[in-house]
Amino acid sequence: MRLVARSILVCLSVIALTASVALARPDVVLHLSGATVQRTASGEKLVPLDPAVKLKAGEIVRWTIVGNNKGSDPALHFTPVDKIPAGTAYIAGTATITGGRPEFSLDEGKTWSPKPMVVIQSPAGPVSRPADPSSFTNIRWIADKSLAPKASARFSFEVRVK
Amino acid sequence: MTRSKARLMSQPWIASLLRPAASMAAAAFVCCALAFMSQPAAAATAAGTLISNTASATYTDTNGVNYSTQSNTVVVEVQNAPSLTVFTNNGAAPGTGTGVPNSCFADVYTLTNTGNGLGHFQLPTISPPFAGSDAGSVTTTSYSLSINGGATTTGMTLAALNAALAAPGGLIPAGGNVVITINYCIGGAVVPGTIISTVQANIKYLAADQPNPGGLVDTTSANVTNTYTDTITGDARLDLQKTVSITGPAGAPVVNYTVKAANGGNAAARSLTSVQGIGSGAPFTTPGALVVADNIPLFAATTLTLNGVPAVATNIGNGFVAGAVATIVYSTDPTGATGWSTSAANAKWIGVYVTNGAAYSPVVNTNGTSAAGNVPNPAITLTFSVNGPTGPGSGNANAVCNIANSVVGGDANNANPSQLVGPTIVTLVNDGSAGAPTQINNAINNSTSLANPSGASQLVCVAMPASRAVLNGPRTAPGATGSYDGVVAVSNDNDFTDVGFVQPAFTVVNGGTVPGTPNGNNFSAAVSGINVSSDVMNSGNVDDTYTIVATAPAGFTVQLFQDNGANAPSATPLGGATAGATSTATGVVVASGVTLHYWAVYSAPSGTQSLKRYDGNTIATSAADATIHNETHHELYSSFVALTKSVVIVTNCAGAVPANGVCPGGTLTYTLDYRTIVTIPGAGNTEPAAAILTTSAGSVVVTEDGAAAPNNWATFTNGLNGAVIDSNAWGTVFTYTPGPGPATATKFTAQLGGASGVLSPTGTAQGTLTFALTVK
Repeated sequence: MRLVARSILVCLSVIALTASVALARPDVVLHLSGATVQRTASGEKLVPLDPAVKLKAGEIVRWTIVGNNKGSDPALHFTPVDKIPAGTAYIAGTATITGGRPEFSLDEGKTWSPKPMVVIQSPAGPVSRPADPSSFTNIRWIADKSLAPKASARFSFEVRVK
Repeated sequence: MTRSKARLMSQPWIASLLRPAASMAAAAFVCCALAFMSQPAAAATAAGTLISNTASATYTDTNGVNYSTQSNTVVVEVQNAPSLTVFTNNGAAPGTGTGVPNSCFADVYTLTNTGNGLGHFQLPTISPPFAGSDAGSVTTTSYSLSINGGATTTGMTLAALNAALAAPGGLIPAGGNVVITINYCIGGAVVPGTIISTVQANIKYLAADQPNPGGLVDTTSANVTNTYTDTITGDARLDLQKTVSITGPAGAPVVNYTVKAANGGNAAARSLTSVQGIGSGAPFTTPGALVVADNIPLFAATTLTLNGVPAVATNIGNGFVAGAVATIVYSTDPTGATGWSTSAANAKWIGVYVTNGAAYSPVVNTNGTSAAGNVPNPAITLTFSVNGPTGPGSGNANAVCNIANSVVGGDANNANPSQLVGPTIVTLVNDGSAGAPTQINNAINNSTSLANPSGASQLVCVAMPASRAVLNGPRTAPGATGSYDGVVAVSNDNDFTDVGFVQPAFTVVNGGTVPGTPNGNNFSAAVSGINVSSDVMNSGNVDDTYTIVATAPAGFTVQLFQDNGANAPSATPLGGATAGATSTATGVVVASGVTLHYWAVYSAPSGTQSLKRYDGNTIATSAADATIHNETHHELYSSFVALTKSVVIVTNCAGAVPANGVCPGGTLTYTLDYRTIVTIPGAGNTEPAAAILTTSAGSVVVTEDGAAAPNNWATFTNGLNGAVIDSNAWGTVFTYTPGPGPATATKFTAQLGGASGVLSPTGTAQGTLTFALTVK
């Protein structure tokens, strides 16, 4: 009987432990925002995108991705990904590098590289050279570290409206 | 990635192996996949495009479980962003072109829609006007248009161009373009310089034209401007100066012409091979030439004849090329197209033909001192004279006009063959082209002074010495001579026109007893509408204006009227003339050689004696020269056939008979003299028949009635003893009453005249009717 009771207790403990383990997980909530960037001699002015205001060709838009881990466990290998929106072109060097290393894709995310290369045909034969950043189709960041519970991470990049 | 694969990948050791490999593989894949691909061209994002963005992320938990998450989606729309480029043949830089005088330019502008929507190009500014030093030389302008590589429409006006751009077909997509060409030509008398054309354009995006118009607004780009600077280089320009003078007397004037030619252009004038085609034989066998041609002036559609021997002089110091030869040539072809030779016979054209032994070789170098119509230092001088005309109009201004033309080879940047440069050759014509001979002929037939592009002299017109003269006389014969009263000398001033008049229903009675000296009774009322037609003719060689003064016979009035075109007076007075003892018409314009009909309308007063001649007259005097005048007379007859009866007692009784008494059985012979009292026009006169007052056959009917008071011989005689005798055998017809024969007739009528004659002062002017009676 005692053995039975102990067994029941053990089971309950396992169940309780299991439940505890099951609730302890990361829960990252992403928030995307955009703002036009107006650079003047006096500095930089960000104007949040407003659906009532149309973008003009040539305008610069800064996209910002904020990941907020609302879970109780760290989010490991946190990798935010975004598509360079159609009608815009990535502006070289604008991807943030704090908290993660940016990588780019030329083929809609099939392959990634921090510095995508292309091969062009030259009179001397095929030559490899860095791809034009405006041809990037996707961007992602390989986070430097896990995203701790209740912590957040911010990543941004800029595009120009074609 | 599937959930199982994700779980596998989440294993640290696997991930540690795969990540570098994946990166390498990815790099290699990119390298291979994009090999030989070109960089994509940046295209503007279409207006109305919705830019949508959603971020995602992946992560794992400490147990290696993979998670993914997505962000909110942000959507924003792209606005109209019209923009354009205006390119020339130098791209974005201003375009350039070159040409010579008398050439045409095509400034091609490519307008490209570099914005992000569909729009219509607009042209706030497009030449003309042109800028540059030679802007004023542009003669013609048109536009060509090609839309998006389509067919080119040429010869468009600006209105048509703008309409095409605004039409639905002119809606240009992003990246599309239109090609607008400004086509213009310049004249020949253009100095080296520049002409600048301008196109200022914008593009307008209408929201309604966009595929996704929602939220868009109509937008117009800023204006973009580009230009062409076209450079005009020098060309030959043969300037001609023509002068004229008159020598010789008025009746035999000589018109002397001098044609001076020099190259006032900026390049040598060259010989042309096509000039050879206008003649045959020497000198037209040389390889090339220039020609100066002069249509010998015409007067009254007849070419004036050469007087003396024409001459040509050349001057090397003024640009005539050493070694070149100038020859005077002539053409008998009225058009000058052919028939040129060195023979002056029947010449209708005269010219100078200059050769230098080789086609397109310089023949006249520029000396830079001449202008069209002004050649102070001629390289070639042609002088010739013609016999001036003396006919009607020859004294008028511009009676004889003449212009000289030339055709030379233009330098055309040393093109070979040269282009033709001559008047009316307004577009470039190559000497080797099939149309060159026609162009040459058109050029030498130019009749416009100093016509573009060059090679035409001024038009010189000259009047022969004026010779004024006027003839005033009977209708259709203003130059007639006569003696209006048969006394004065027959002359052009004494010519006349007869007209008869009589008071209506008035019986004219001759109270005179001497034949030829009538004594008519007086009209009891005035008689108006006595119309006399005369002609005034300008027999001088210059148009003139006359004053015509009519003078009525004493007591009469007169007024001058215009002719109505139907041989009657019109209601319009001539030259403002009014009625009176005299009537004066002023400002009567009569061109040289022209005859004007006019009328003098007289009114006779009551009491005018019948059977009498009344003399009126008109005198036409030149307003320019009072010594030039001519007179004509109007002879007004208040009836003109006078009858005079006389009697002779042929047999009588032997007893005492009172004077002029007659016994029964005595015989009386009556003689009835009939005659016209119209004056004989004088020996040697040239009066027209219509101006002489005559009767017509049978129109004069003499009636002798022995019973009509105051006659009573029907009562006291036995009637006619026999036939009445007319002294003129001219077909008089007698009728006797009672008839049928004359015997015992107490009345007869005689229709005077017939096929053999009428009563006329110049023919049968008089006669007698004789009849005998026996007293009961």
